[in-house]
Amino acid sequence: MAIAAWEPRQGGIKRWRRQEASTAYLFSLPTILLLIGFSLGPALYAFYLSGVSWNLLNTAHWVGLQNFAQLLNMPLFWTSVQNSVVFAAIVMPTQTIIAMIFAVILNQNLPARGLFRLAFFFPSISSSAVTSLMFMWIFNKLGLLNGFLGVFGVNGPDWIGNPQYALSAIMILNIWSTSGYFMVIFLAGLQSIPQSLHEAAMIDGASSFQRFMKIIVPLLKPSTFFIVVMGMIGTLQMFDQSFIISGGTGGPLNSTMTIALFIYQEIFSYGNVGYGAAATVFLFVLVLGLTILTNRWLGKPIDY
Amino acid sequence: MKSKKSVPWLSVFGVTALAMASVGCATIPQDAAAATQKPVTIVVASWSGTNVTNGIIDRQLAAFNRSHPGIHAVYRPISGDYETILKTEFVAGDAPDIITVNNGGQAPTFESEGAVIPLNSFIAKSHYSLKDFYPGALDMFVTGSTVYGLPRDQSPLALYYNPVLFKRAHISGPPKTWAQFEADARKLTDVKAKVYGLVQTPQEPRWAQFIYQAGGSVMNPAMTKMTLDTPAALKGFSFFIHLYRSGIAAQPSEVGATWGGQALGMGRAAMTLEGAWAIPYLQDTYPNTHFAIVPLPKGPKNNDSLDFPTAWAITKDAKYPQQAWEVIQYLTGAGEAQWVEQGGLVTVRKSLVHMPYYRTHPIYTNIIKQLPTAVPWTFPNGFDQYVNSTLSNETLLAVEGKISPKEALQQLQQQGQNSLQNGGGN
Repeated sequence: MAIAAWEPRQGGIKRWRRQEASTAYLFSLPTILLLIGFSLGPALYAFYLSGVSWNLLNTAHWVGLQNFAQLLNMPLFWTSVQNSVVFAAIVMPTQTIIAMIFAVILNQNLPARGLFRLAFFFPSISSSAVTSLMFMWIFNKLGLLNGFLGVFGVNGPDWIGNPQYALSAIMILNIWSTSGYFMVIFLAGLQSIPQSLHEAAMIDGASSFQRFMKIIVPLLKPSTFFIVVMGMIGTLQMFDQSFIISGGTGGPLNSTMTIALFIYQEIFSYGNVGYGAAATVFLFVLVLGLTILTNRWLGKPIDY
Repeated sequence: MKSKKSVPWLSVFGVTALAMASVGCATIPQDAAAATQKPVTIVVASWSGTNVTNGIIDRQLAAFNRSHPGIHAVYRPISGDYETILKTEFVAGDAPDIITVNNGGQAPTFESEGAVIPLNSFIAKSHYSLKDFYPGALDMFVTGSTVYGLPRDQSPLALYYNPVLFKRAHISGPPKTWAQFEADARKLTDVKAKVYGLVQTPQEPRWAQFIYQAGGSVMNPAMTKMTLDTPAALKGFSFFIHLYRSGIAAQPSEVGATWGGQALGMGRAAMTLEGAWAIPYLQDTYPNTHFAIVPLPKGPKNNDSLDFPTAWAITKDAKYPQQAWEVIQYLTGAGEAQWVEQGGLVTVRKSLVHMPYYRTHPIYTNIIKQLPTAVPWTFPNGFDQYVNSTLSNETLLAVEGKISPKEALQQLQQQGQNSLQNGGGN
């Protein structure tokens, strides 16, 4: 009886839900089309390309998994994987820690706080091509950085020309240019930590370092998760800075050859579309795997 | 590297030209009909060089458009990764009608994959003579008897030096032999002041001439075999590496420059090895640095130089190849004199070497002197990666002393042979 009485109203909700859903899809249709056309479609196409032999100018033919076999035997590919992983392993934690520390400092009531926030955020809204060119001058053998080191009597290295230092130079550039953006995300996270927790901790006699470790760090976990994942993806896919600083070669001696640059070179410079696409699939699996691991580690909801 | 191949096919060409003459007459009305309609647009592309270079092509095409009302030629400089951008445009099927093909770049790939079309029928139809071109500049763009490009400009390497630094080091004149070259470089080097005898990117297109000067070669003339395993090749390469190992030559980045020409302009290089492209650059960017140009110092056998020619070619995507050909004909013919007179590079026509411009601009004299024996720098199809990274990596390892010159050449010989066996990769 009661069920029967409810029946028509439930149907009404269903209809309403369906209408709601179709309107929602209608509104997101342009974005969905763009995503399929320019993001998901090409991504699937890359999977297809990883199984063909094609040099862009001839006709493609299917070779199956042969490209992967070739790729895994290429020393240059492993050099690029090593560079990318080392790059990500150093840059990602460093930029996360720097961003968190700056965010906490700039969340205090400091004089000229807005100015500092602007200064730290500024690199992330500048074009990376421009900042790369800027850093090429800073890292120049006779440039700003070595001039500064010279004040302390240090004879600075040839940052970009020396294979030992070239990747480190790009690391410094990348940390500088991304920390500001992540700092803003941490700042937003900090705003959502209730002031009452700080007050309670202060009454209990917690020092500011204890409050940082016991309140701020754990409660920033959602922001940290986002930043770690974004930072990891960004650093593993780093292309532009290597490309510009090495003039597109990944040199000197392949020291700045990243996976993304390897993919670009294989496909566009050497006409090995299959190898490049296979490396793309490899990069996809690597990023996916690491993201899943990070999700297990940091992705849980916070327990108070 | 394949400079001896020109004579037989040129004569073959003459015969075809005669045979095609009557066909040429028959097509003229068609062209005339096309000319009365709306002008056909022909896009001419090249890498964006200096302002000087770009201005010249614009002016050349403007002059062409005035005298050819049926064709509207426009210049489109491509900035960035020139050949990569072209490749993507070939895939999309909308490449420019006319492109510049480069030595040692993707030209062999473009030719073998049919991205640029053979010009033989056009050449025959318009009785275009190829005899005036330097064989070295033309041969690079000819496969078998198929002509894929008509030479646009070239430049051999020569020795640039800074006379002020020479005077300061009490050296009476530029070096004429390898021994003098090394001795002068030693005297000119002042590590404290960051001035080096020679500043040069350690790359094959700047050391291969030492191998030729020692009597060796990089590949055999037919480009079917690497020849870097000869004693002569080792002698030439070792001499180059030795300059760096003994601290009298430096890489441009060590003095804060990106290439040898810039280092010379900055006053940090007493000598460098560059082509004519450095002349307008140095005059415009570093007007206060004096420089002079002399022929390369003589090695054990000769002082041969490397030559870097470029050419115009018609792409497969050209809808009006006949009109595109007319543009090329103009650019390589009458327009050519104009090109050289504006400065920048060296003529590809033997008859233009004696034109008045060179008498009033003696800075070009010693570059032109290198032309007759200069070896065009080129590699066959499938050498993209070898040219792009293998050559410079092995050279850099030798310059840094991580491997001996002999080991570097062994690597280069072996990897070059591998590239030859894979013959074009895909």
